[in-house]
Amino acid sequence: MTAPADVAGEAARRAGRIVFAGSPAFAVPALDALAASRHRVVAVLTQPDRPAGRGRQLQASAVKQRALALGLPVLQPASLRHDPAAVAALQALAPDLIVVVAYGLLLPRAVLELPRCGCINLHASLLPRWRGAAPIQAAVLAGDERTGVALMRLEEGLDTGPVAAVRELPIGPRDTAGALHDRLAVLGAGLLAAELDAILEGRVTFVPQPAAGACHAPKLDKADAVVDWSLPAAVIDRRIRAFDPWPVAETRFGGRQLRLWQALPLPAAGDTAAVPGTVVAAGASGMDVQTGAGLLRLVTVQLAGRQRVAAGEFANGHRALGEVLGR
Amino acid sequence: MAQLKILEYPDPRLRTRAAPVAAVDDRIRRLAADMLETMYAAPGVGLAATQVDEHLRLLVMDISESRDEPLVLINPEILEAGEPASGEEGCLSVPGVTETVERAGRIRVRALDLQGRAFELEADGLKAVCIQHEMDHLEGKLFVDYLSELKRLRIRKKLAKTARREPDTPAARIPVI
Repeated sequence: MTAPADVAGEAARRAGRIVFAGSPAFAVPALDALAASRHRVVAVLTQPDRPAGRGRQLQASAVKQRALALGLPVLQPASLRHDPAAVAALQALAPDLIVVVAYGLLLPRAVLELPRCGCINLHASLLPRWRGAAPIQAAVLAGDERTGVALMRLEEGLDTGPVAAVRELPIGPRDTAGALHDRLAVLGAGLLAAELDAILEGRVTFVPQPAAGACHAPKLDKADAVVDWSLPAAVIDRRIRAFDPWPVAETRFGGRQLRLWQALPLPAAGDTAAVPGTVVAAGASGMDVQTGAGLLRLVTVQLAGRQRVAAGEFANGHRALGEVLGR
Repeated sequence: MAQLKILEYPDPRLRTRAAPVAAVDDRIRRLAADMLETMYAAPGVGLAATQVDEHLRLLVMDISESRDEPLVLINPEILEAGEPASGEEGCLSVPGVTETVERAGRIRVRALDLQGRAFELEADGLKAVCIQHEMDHLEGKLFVDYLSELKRLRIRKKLAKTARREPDTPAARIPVI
């Protein structure tokens, strides 16, 4: 059976016109959620293709690839601030709502004020905690037990807009930033799908963020990834998990880069007097390194230019026992 | 008097940073005597407390041909270091291995003697090398740390192979520090 003509017509009239702005893989489930909704994605804004990978070939963003697969029109201005033509193109689309998920470019006031229902943003933290560029890694680094996604109205400040809804999830003791990223992307897409109708119909209350508890998650750098062995084992473990899959925690072994993929802090009782960074034990389950407080068992490591290997195998092959990492 | 057991690379205990000697007492004097006995018996020209699993800033040495000029340095500090020079070194904790290492060719050092009195000394040649080598031990550092990873790996494999046999006799002309 098909819907009676008048019901179908009513639904079509109420379908919103949405512009989606996003770039990396985190934004793809949100785009899918919008495309699967009864509303219309009239255009996808994403960052220009950038050189990536070993060949430094131009690569389309994850969102662009998905948008093309969905048959959606794609816009890739280098900047919205200095490109009046791009802003005019957006205006011509007459969007009801712009949904921003990790777009990576700032929206000027003219764009923020353009859609009837405004611009909303999906952010991967429990705002006002961890505003900024790297909220997922920051939550793991800080040892937070919970994180989540927040749907907020975009303002000119950085992640300071009023919040419509949040969803939480626990951070497990072995969670990496990569694993958390994937779960948060799906959680965020669900939140967006659940709130979309209400936002387009103006039925949602946006609550200003409290001033208390606000903090900033700065963009990570390659230099952050070098392990300081004088830190406690639990802190180094968090850094290893926060830097997986990027920039990947690293140290030096015999002057060469050694990347650390997986580790496990051991109960504090096993502390030795060796200087931090010393490999004090090695066996099938890994190699144990003395830190500033406690032992850290390295489980998976990767020497520059080699495959990832079990740390126990590495320690055996390279006779790592008694060596000092980071020198 | 007793001979002490010398830890061998890659024992992680050799990576221990030694604590300053708080007071030069009979226990320290006995340890120094035992270390000298151990060093002469080995035979070697220098020994740090770290090598006998005592993590105190104490080292003994004797670089004389006649083996009758023992020197004990407690809480040693380098005050001045001259131009770098290269020389061959061995180590009682890395038996059978000698390699060229670059260190300061001349140093001025302050330390305490066995009566707890501060003194200063200037050293060059083997004496300067020996003091720096033993002071590295007190920081958990070994002379093999100065070598390339390839050389170090070769040494670790060689030591693993000979672990159950008698240590090789070091080349006669190169003193073992």
